Amino acid sequence: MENKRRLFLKCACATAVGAVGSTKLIAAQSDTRADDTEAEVNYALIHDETKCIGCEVCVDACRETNNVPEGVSRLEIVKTGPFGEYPDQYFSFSRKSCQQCDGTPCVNVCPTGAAYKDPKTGIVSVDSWKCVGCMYCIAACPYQIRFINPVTKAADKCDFCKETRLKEGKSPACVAACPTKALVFGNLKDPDSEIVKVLKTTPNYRSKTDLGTRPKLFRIAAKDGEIKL
Amino acid sequence: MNPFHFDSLVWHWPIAIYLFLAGISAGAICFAVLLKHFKLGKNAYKSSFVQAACLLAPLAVFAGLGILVLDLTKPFDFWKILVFYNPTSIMSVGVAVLMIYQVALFSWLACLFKEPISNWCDHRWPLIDRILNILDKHEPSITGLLVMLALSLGAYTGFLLSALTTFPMLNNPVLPMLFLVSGISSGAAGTLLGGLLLKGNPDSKEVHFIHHIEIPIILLELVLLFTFFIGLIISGGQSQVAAFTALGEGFWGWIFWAGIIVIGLTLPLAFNLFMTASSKRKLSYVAITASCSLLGVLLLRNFILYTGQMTVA
Amino acid sequence: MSRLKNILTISILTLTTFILSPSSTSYANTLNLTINTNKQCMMCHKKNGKMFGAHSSNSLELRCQNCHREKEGHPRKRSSLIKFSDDSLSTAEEQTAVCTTCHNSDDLTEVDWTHAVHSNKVNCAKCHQLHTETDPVIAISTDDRRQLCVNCHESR
Repeated sequence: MENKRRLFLKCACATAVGAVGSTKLIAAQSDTRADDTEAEVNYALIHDETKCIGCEVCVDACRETNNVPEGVSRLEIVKTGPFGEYPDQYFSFSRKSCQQCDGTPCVNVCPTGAAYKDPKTGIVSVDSWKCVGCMYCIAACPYQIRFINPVTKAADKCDFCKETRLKEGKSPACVAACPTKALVFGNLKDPDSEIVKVLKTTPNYRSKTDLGTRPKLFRIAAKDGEIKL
Repeated sequence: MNPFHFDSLVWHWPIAIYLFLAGISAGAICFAVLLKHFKLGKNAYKSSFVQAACLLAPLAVFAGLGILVLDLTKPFDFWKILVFYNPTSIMSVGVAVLMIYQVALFSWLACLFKEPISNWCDHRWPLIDRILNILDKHEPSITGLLVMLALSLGAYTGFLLSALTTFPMLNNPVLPMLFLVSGISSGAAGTLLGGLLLKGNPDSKEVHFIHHIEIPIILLELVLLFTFFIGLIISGGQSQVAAFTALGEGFWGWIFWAGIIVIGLTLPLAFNLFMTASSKRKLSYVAITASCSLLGVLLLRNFILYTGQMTVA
Repeated sequence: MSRLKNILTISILTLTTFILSPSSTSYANTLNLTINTNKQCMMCHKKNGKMFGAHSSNSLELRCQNCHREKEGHPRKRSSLIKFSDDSLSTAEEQTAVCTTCHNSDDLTEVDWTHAVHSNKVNCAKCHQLHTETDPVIAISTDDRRQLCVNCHESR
């Protein structure tokens, strides 16, 4: 009995050491991963809510370009309002789409690595072949923008048109379609890009930054809505 | 808001069943190990309660995994989870734990049933004898490993949900502990019910032993539930909103207060205390207590899963 | 007695033809609309003044003057007439005010949110046409509707 207990203790110690070691390894791995993103390109998007008119031309352009089936959408314009008294009323519009986080909750939880951040562009994408449809990423995304594509049965979301227009050297479909130029797309690493200039000169905000997601969808706030407590 | 369909809902009840089954398996095997080491020794395999636990543990894990695979949008691609690993994903780590757990589980079962297996083989296949001997030599290590893996599995069911920063109620450090403890209590209840079904004696020392452990476990579960919700309420913000939405009026409020607190925890605790005091155990008492416990844990998993997804950070 | 029978059958026949005829006002019927017998206007506006849309229904008992106001000195001298279009002398707000005397602004916003933000900036005729049999904006396709936004909001 004494011997057995000793063996048990030994085994317990070994497992504990193993567990600590593996967490260290994971931490080390995520460190090296952070280094990898030091590429020359890191794409981001600005949604200027002062310019957005809620026409949803971007939504249609996205659907057409990326072959998004009816019933689901990679991009929505969420409308709140009307604020104010008639006839001086206004709405505010907010873009609901992938925020292209730098600290990626979806990539962290994906069991197969189907959700990944492209080290060359900083774009978060889905490898629909690797995806098994466990829906962990859909639950993990604090912005709730992921969905199961009814055709591919894989998780789907905005990838800045990485597989379509970006490949051809064009800007994303929504950006090109916006009639009021409310969307600015560009490379954060390029100090001369329009996006960097706008971000440096215009007050902007991001959604749910307190969750540590470091989103790359910047928003320029429109007229304030009502005061909510 | 419909209690089973709302906008922010991603995971439905099959996940709750899976979490429940994984917990039962972990709990049942823990009790089998405890019974063998502290009460029954070499002849443990003859006890109907140990037999029940040893049946329940693998069956629950298989059923749980089956449900998990069927719940995927691409069930035939489930092998990709086994081939591709992501060390930052709780699900991926959990699948690895589950796989090793099953190996350890069957190794330990082989050690436990060594005598009947070798009797049945009657030295016809020397390979089996050799494997059994090797396993027997390492039984203490296997046992230690199995207990730790079982505890990891029980906690994993909680970590799986607590990794979701989206939902403040699920993203809670107490959740893994709560699920581990409630998993162990469901394992105890499953073992008792199964043992009775296998014609075990309701007044045997196994039942006394399990009941003895069950009382502090139920008390611990109550403390953890209290900590869980008080923690949410005093952190304010969306966490507080989540706690009040879950505990307030409506379908899930009833499930919590009547189903989990009264039927799942208070009744079994009262029955256990009564049975300890009156010392004589009757089949109906033991069966009702165990059923209440099991129902309570099943409701708890569904309650946490559904109400947890109601409030977004 | 037989005459009474005859009258009965004839009236039943006419009734059934009325009921069976398509519910939407056909072109032939709209010619008899009382609004289009308004001599004061139709003397000159025979071609461009005829009204066939929903507002022309006899049951509404609307006259041209209800919306366009009184003739007064028109066409030679001053009048309080309102023209509903971009090249109108009235501001968009004045034009909209005529429509909102009947159409509650909240109801309009409920049907389509864009009403709320355009009410004092854009005249209703920019999107709506009331004289034609059907208002083309009612059954507009999503694409065309979005193009309608782009037409004005396009930044160059």
